[in-house]
Amino acid sequence: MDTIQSIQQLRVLLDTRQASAREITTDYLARIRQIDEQLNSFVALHEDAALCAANLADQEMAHGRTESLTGIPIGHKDVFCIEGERTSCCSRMLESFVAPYSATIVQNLRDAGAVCLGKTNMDEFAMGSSNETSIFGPARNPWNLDLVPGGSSGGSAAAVAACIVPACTGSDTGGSIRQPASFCGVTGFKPTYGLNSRFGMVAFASSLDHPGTLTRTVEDARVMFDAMSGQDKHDSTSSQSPSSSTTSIPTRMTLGYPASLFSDLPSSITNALEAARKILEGQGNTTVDIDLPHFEKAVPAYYVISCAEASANLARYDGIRYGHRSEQGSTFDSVCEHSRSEGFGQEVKRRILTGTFVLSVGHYDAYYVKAQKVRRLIRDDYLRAFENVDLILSPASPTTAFPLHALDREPTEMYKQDQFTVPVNMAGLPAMSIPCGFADGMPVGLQMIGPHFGESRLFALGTQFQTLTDWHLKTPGVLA
Amino acid sequence: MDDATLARLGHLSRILMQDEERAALLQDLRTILRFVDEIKSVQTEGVEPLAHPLDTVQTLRTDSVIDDIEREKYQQIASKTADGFYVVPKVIDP
Repeated sequence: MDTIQSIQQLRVLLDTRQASAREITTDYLARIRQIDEQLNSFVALHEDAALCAANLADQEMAHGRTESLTGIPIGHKDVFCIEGERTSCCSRMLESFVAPYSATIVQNLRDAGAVCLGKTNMDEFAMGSSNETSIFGPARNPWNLDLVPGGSSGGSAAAVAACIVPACTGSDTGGSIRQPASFCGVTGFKPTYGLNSRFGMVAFASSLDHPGTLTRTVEDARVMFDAMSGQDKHDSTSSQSPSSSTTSIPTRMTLGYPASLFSDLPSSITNALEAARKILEGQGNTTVDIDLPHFEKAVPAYYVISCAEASANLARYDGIRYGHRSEQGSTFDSVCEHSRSEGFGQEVKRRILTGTFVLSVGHYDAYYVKAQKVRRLIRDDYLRAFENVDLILSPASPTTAFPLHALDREPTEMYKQDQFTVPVNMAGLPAMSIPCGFADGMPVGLQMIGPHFGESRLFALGTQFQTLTDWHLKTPGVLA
Repeated sequence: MDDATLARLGHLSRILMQDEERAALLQDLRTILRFVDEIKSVQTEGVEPLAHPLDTVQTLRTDSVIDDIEREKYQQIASKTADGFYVVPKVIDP
């Protein structure tokens, strides 16, 4: 089989009986065994379960029962529970945690016929922008193994970029799908808050967490989204609005282009962005300048809110009911303290402590409530912009992939990596990063942001761009 | 942010810190708080806090009795249980 394979290409192979689901699954498992030692993108392979699922897919197809993803291999970020499999969040805290139930999106994808190959690497508890905080060691960027793949969904992005799996799930709290997609040259998509259920996804910051996907093409993102999404009685924040990927779209779009935000970016990034803009304008789309006045305050406000929510969400890890339990401690409190101190890594502790501080007496109004007010201003900036534009364009990240350990002692510099993605989560908007060029040999991602429930516009413009360009077809040398 | 504040945060969040770790975390938290202090310059008078990006209300299930408590299954993931209970160090002295 050819190396590059999208879901669509695999669908054709399966539907025309050129390959069976078992052959495709076996081939991808072999690719992972051959290449992943260099990438460290998978933290668990579910070979037996995958082959069983592939056999079942072959039987279903033989009986004429083919769903959108029947026989298509995928990977799940290790933040999603799969019943009977370890769900570690790449943390010592959950190193031995075997999930007693499956996440809704895992079940939805299984119901659509997808074959899960295993779990992918990530920053511990999805807290990071480089995949370096994983207890399993960092995943590496297939375009340059000395560089990070981005994070927190770094394993998913690296695996899809290296063509060792056609699609993966990811989660995006402040850019954790779009930034690694940008760094690895793949398509990263997250829908409007609430359209993909969070049930069974280990919680980081509940009002900001968005499940989504990393795929080779925009069309594949649409297929995955259609299979994953839907209202879920197990998630009280699940949206009641219908999936919008099939709603009508303007044939020529007006695209917001907040140029003043790009003035400090390296020219290699802005050149790629400008080239992408010209391609889209060449198709009859119009770009207009827009103003997002509170943009620069989004990252600091995000770190108040996300850390506050993280400190509350991670309070559940007491060492008693599940997760790591320390052998030390003779009282209830001290067992809890030792378990948490041993189980959490440095970045997770930083965020729990920060969150505890901003929620504590005397600081609650000045930090937490204040940040929530800033959040409204940020969201309202977008709502105003979308009165006049169909979508907004920006880079997904201010840089291309950086070297491993480059930002080890610079937590706030790491946080600023997410300056173009964080505001989107604060507003709960759908967004996508697609490859739009290279800078110094590394991929650059174009971010498209839509209004609430504007997924169909993202898919339309993204597909239009990928019809006119071949950046998404490039593959890294690790495959050679 | 000083040692005493950090010690209080450590207690509230049940995180123990050795001396070396404490010093590094103190420095990091100072840096992070300087960074997030930027929000203080934003004019927010009259602005309502936003907790949910879509301003929606949580959907509630029907309040009906269901019988799906699978105690055994969910206690399998705990490190110490006995007779359907979680085992913890003694909390109350006799």
